[in-house]
Amino acid sequence: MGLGEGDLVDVQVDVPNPDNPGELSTELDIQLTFAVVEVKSGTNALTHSLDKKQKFGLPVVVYAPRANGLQQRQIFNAGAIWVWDINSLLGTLDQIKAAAEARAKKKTKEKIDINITYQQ
Amino acid sequence: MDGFRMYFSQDLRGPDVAKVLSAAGFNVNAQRSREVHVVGPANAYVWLDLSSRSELDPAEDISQTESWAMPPNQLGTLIVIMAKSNDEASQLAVRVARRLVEHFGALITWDGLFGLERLYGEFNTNRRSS
Repeated sequence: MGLGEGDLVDVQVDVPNPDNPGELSTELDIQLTFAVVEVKSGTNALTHSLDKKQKFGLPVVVYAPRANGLQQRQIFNAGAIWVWDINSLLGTLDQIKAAAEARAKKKTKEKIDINITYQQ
Repeated sequence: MDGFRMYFSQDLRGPDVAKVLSAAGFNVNAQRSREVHVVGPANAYVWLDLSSRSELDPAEDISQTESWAMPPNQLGTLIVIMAKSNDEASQLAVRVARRLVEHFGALITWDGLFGLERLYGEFNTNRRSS
């Protein structure tokens, strides 16, 4: 399947607090149409930051080549997906994209089925 | 966004930290019991996330002491400083960290962020020589 230009929404995206727009809730390193990617050059998992990213309703993938055992568990506990190298990152994003597209197709088919049923 | 950890022996709350930073001229944008935000020039933004020892998970966090700068039984507050991914935010983060070290005393682990560690060293050197 592969990733395309249309998959990228933006990089370094500021996310304001909805209750106080002057306050930044978090920042997204890479925002895709079907996932959020957090790039971590250090070893700190920053679960607090991950918690906020989970609110987008999109899968959060953390690219952290140097994460140790503790940080890997923290990423897992935060409900995010840890990837350790560029190949695993691309492979994981491919899988998430395929799953998102399959869900979208299913929804479209359900809508068509409902429409057909309604017209009958 | 990336971050580093600061270890304090005191039990600190967000307002304690915000007060010190505001008094030093930092623009504190938000403060809660466990969270402080600081804004700097050129869209720089820094988050401080505070955890007391009792809030840390003994099995998950405290058992992994090999990466800790301080024995867990001496820890009062752990602050993770996170910064937006740009030079201005990195500069702001090290200035905030330095002010907290000066006021409260703290140990820092850079968690592999060698660029920030170098920046902090340069900032200290400049302060001493000026």
